[in-house]
Amino acid sequence: MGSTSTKIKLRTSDQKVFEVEKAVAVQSQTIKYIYENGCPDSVIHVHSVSGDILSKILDYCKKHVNSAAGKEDISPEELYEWDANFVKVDQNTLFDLILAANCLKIESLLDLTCQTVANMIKGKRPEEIRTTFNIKNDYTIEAEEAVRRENKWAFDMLGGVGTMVIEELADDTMSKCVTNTKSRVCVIAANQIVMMRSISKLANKKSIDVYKQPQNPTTPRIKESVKQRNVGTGFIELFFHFKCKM
Amino acid sequence: MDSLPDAIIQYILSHLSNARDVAACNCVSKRWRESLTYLRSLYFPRNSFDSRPGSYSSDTVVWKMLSATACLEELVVYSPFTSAGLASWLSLVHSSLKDLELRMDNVMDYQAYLDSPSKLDCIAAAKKLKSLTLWGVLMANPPKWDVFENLLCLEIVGARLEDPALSAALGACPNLTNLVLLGCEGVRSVLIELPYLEHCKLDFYGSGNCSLSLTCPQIELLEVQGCSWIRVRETSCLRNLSIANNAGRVYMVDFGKLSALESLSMRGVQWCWDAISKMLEWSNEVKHLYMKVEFTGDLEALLPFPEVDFVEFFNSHPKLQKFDIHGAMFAALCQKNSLKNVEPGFVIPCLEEVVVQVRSPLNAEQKMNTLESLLKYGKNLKKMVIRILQMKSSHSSTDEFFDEICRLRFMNRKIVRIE
Repeated sequence: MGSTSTKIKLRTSDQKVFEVEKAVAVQSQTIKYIYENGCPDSVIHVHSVSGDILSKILDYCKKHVNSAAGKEDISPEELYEWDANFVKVDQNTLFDLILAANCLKIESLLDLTCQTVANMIKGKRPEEIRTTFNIKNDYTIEAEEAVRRENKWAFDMLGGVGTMVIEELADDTMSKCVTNTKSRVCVIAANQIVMMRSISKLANKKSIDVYKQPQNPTTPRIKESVKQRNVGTGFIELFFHFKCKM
Repeated sequence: MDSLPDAIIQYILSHLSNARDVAACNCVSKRWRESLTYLRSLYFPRNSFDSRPGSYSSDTVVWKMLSATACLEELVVYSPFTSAGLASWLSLVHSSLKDLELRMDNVMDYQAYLDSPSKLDCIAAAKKLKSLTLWGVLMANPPKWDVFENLLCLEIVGARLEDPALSAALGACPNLTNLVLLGCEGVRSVLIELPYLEHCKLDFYGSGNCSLSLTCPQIELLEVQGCSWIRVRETSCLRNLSIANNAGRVYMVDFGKLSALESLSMRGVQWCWDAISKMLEWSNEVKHLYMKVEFTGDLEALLPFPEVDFVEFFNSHPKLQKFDIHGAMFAALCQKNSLKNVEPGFVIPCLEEVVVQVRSPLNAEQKMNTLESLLKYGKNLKKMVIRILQMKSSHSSTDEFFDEICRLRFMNRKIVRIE
């Protein structure tokens, strides 16, 4: 036949049939294996995945295949944004996507979805985590007390929002670092506004170009190259690459 | 979420790394606590233990968390610690630890420096490390390291180094592919002989007169700041080269053939003309050239560049696609005789993008000629950006010059842009 695009048929748990291009379907290592080792003409059953979920998953695979093959003109940042929107779903759908990505062995999707859940855990106290995800607390009272005591240090928060914690390393070494062509500087501030203000103060003083790799859509207009390591409640630690304009 | 299988919970939780989040998850449920055994990465922010100093030993807290893991691969600690603490942690995780990042804080802390064994020495226990990053280190004596066979990536930021200590440290990492030394003070003369080194970024802080000798046959990317004497003989793989010196003068460069060089950046206040002309001569295959050297001159006196012949320059750099002309280079291309060899058949074949920085209206006519020549003979020129910097506008010639530039932009709308 010499087809330019081979199609594969997939049947879901709720008997829906999807016909997709081979290149898209084989993003799933499971489907790839079945296709290459089974009979390519018949329909592949994906028992554990429902039609709705498979439909979403195929959207994801298609987007990523097209962007990698250059069929779609999409920059890495745009793809990142697309992925971020893709996972803006309710919890049940998110967990269904995780289970399906695991079963179908689509590594990048599994990573994306699990990272999304991890991001929802970050910065929360244990009670909040339990409420968010409806987790059953299976500790006995004594065991829970013991584990809380052991982890108490994590809940002793310093000051509150508005405490300025810019390290000496920031001021002195920062001005040293910025006279070099390229230096990495660590700035710690108790809240984002305080930190951004100090960065812009520096930026004005030394006419520094600060380049941004968008990670958090709420960070303000200043362009920074950010490797964001932690977004805790009110505490942000960021690493910047400063490129000094002479 | 409780209905998810254990393996998935473990996988989700393995995406966490901040120690505070891990501590919170420990308290959520027994199942979660057990799932955290497979944590891959643990990170302690700077202020982890700030709120109640002395009420518990932070070294012990870190130790307890590490002891609950089975296969930790990455440990990042920015909070303060002692060398005894570090030794105890590494004895727990050394068999799986691949990445270690520590804020040493020894630069100011002479007391801690007297600890024996020092924190630096303790790192030797993590034999399987693939990458090591140290912030704020005082390396006055050679660290007592064996050999880190697996270490590929070494980064030291904000350090005070002594030459023999640095040599010893590099000697313990024979298989390095990436070396980054940023904001490092105290270095006078560096000899780097690493057979597998591919990426090297050096940023020496001080009076700008370090000397560097690099013998790394696989080197692909080299960025150097703060050296006045640079020798790199094995350059068959070198693709990206950046030499900058804000504090001192670059007076000697000695490179092998730069036949693979695609991108060259030369920056600094003053470079000896010999160094500049040699770099330009060797880099005739280069595709991207960034020049921002303010002055030349072999001694203290800061001199402008001598005249650079336009035709000769572009003929000797035929593959040039992107050219950033800042500093004194543009003035050198705009001298009286710079354009004397320009003929109708002359072509600048590959040039696509030019960024020019204009700072003064002197020689306005010649400057306009050069800009026009770039447009005329650059057949593939897609973009020309003219950056006009703070011209002393007390002179009427400044306004005329600016008008001329605007007219140039108007005539070449698609190509020229003013910033």
